Amino acid sequence: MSRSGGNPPAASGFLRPQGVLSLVLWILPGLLATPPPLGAQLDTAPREGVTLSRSVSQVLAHLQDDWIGWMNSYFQNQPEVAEEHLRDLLSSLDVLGFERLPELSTGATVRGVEAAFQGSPERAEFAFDAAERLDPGRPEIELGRAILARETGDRLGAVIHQLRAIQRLFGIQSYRFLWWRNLLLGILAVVLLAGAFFTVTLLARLGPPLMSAIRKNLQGRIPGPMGHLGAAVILLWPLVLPHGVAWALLYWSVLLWAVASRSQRVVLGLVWIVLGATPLLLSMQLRQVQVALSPPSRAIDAMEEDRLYGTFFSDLGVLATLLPEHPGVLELLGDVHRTLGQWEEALPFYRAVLEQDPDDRTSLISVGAYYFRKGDYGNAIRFFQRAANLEDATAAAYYNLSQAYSESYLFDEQKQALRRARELGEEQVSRWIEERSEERVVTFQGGLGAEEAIRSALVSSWSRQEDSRKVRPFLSLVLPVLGLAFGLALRRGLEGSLPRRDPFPDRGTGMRMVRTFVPGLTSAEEGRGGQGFLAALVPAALLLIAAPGRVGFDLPWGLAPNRGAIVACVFASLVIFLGIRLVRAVRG
Amino acid sequence: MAIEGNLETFNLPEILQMISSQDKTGILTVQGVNDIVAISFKVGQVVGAVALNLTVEEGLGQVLASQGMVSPGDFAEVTEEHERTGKRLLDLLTEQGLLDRSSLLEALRLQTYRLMLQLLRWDQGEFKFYSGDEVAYEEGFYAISVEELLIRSVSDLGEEQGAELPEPEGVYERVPGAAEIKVQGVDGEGPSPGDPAVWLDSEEKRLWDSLDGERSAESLAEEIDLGRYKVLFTLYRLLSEGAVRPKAVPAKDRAEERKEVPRDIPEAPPEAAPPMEAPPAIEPEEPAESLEIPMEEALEEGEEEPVARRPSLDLDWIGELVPSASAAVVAILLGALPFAASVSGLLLPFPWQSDTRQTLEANRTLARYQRIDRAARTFFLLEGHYPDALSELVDLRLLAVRDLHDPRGRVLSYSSDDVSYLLQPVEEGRPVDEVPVRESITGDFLLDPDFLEVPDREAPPLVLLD
Repeated sequence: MSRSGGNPPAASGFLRPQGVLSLVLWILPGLLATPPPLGAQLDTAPREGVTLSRSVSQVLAHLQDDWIGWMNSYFQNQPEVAEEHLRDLLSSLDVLGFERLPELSTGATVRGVEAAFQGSPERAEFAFDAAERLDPGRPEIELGRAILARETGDRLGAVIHQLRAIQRLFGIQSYRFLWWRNLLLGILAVVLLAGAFFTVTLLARLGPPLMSAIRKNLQGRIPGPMGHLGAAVILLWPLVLPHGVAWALLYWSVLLWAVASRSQRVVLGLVWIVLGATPLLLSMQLRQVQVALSPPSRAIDAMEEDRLYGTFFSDLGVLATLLPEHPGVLELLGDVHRTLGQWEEALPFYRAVLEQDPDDRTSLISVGAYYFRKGDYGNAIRFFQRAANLEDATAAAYYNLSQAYSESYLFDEQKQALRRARELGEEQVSRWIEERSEERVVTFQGGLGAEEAIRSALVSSWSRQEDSRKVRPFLSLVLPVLGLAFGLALRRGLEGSLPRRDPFPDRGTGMRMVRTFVPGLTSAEEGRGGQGFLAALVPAALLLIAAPGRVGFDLPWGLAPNRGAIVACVFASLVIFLGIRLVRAVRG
Repeated sequence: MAIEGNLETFNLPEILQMISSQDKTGILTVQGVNDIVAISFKVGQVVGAVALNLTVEEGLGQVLASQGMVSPGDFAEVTEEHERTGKRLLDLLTEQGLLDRSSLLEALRLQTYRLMLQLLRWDQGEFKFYSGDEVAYEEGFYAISVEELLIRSVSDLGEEQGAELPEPEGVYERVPGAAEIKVQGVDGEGPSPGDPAVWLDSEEKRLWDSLDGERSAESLAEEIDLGRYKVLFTLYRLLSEGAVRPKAVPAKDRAEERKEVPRDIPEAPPEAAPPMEAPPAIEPEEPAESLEIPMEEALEEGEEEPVARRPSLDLDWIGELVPSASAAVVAILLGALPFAASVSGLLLPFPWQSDTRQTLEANRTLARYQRIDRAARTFFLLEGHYPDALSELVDLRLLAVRDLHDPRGRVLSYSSDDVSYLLQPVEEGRPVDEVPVRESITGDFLLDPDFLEVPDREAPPLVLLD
């Protein structure tokens, strides 16, 4: 089946049946994962995508062949041949207009890890070097080197490589995006867990006087001994509800608010606000995360970072299917075709963009470049002039115009256009002249310029289906208000019933140890809300760090990071934290 | 932050009451004509005092000697060892068996009280209060409330009293129209010059409202949880202003009332009060007839042990145990939560958040499946087929062991053929009621041999004719 032919973008399907199937399979997790998935429009939207020309297909086939060649020569321990295949791989990649092959880089890294386990550090290093050239700066390579260091007994080196892997994580858009979202989730989880610990410590210290106050209020209604039982029931009843612990903590926090010190009340109030705002924050973040995990977003990230991965073309097809008329998507698809050298296939996309926005500068320049490349300088001048006549004209429009004039022997106009280009961007023009390529004119990835707009459109398409459920996260915002209202009412109701707080509770050895190992208990006794909460933050944070992946979204690591180091760090931090508290307790 | 002034402007009882009412923690220094005294406060109560001209050791020696707790000879020996070894005198006293810890703390409390008593005589000097979060004090020291200090000092200083001292067993009633009562924060900030009204704080107002001429001071202290000395001191003020007066109560009634009043008062329980140099000020000077019956006698005269009191005391442990045990259990559950299957229950714990919770879980599942898919594709890239089991991906370090479960902790069942694989969560050995996820190599130009249907790569070269 031929992939050339340059069908217009909105006319007929580009994807073969297998391609369509692959799209469905790719977004299947999304379909399953979320009730109204991104790909829900697949069945109704017109199908569009990326058509691969014969020459591009041949280059891609070369990539496959060279990869197999590299693996064979690697196994046969022929570094020179492997090096040759690697050079060919990168050369083919360059022809396609990309710079990185992430999956092959990960594959080479895994080979390196295997070699490390087999006790061949040289071969491992050879594989890691190849991985580094296939996709420079990938965190997985450092994870592989960490494994090699560990296998060779270099523990410090392993830690350093592990840290470098974390540092490299921020160099990849998709990793970085999820990492920040995980951080937000982690912070919310730590604050809420610390808030729960804080409430529990308050309950331990202020619970007895609270129960006493409740009992006094029951006097007259419930006889003597039953008063204790009644007070206990009043304190514990939420535990029998579904989600009982959550209800109980919320209920206790309201009861304790009535008997707590001012700073403790402030902390409880802030925790209520975080608890109330969390669903809203999450709701907003989840839309973005869902889009970020979708195939279209992956393709945009790859375009932005010059990475070519296996399902890149299929993923772009999903994007085209979801937003078939979006000018940013149309231009992006045109850019992909142009990058691959498929100018004929690119032109209809740019024309479609200009139909929607006749003043789209980058599309005007791209169409002009198309005609320039074909030797149709008259049309090239026409489009470059349109770009140059725009209010926000750039040096590129004038520079390209000067090149078209030059080819048309209109040297006066050429000089004038070049002068104007230099006025607008002397530095850029000098660079273009120095780096003069075969194309002679400059073009831009206008589709990537619309990246934010495309992502917003994807988020909106998802949000539209969420509209019916938008109100619910807002319900939680009522929580802090209700908490405050109930707390105030209760405080008033219990006025006169509360025993005075004992400022110097039991200081026996046993209680001292309890206080040492239960952070926040002493502060709870002394009415210091801020310190009590900070004390609870430490164990909450350590617990959640020790259980990564329980809180956030899995980063798409190509190699599993070693969690042993993290757990060891957490354990050491916990020991140090408790040790300091113990020393301070012993010193009195 | 420091508060400062001189004793001509503010007298010391006023300063002490201010620190007490605001529950301040810090150190009050008072520089008099001949000495400087520093008093440590913790949450508005006195926990220590030292003077420039009288060290703790000297003061303690005097107290121990005056109380006959340690002979001067023994004390001199301990002091010598203290100077020689540098060890704490207080530790040496207990280590050498001269005193037990509780007696030592009582002696310290008495010494502090004496120093305060001395200070209260000063009418000239400058004071400065340094507020802080923490002050040093001897562990186990039973704090002296300002009210206790002031009410005891009334008799100990031997000054002319404005009114008789109230007694714990005494019953007091309001004197109608005798004085105007104003409440700080309600009727104004406080007394102004020439204002005849009696100003009370909110706690004192509670006492005022509770004065019904039927219940004793001690009983009121228990019922409104104000603290024994706070009640007595407030009554003393009200007696001085003529706003209240003692009321005689028949002895029988008093005895019955005693049966209902628990003896343990939270603030400064009698057993914790140290022996004072002078008789306690709360001893009535001229006890009313009805007060002549001591508590023990009253109990004996009661025909039977008060029935209502026993169960009340016996079940007090419920009030202590229930909150503490609940807190402990919930804390353990919270500690285990991050290691449980999902933490969405922590972020979104309530029923009405189920939609957002499900979406969060769905996104986490999607991210997990993508990681597995990525690993499986890398495996395919290296081996030319999908792995037979997910554990093969763990062996290659492409996945971690926990990746073999979904974010809810359910085991993922995996099966594969040449070009695709199937993932489905399993619970108790059976697939859960969810559509399984199938992934394949279709559409992946690196894995799918059909994707690039390039015609014969060895095609004959194109021959240009002419």
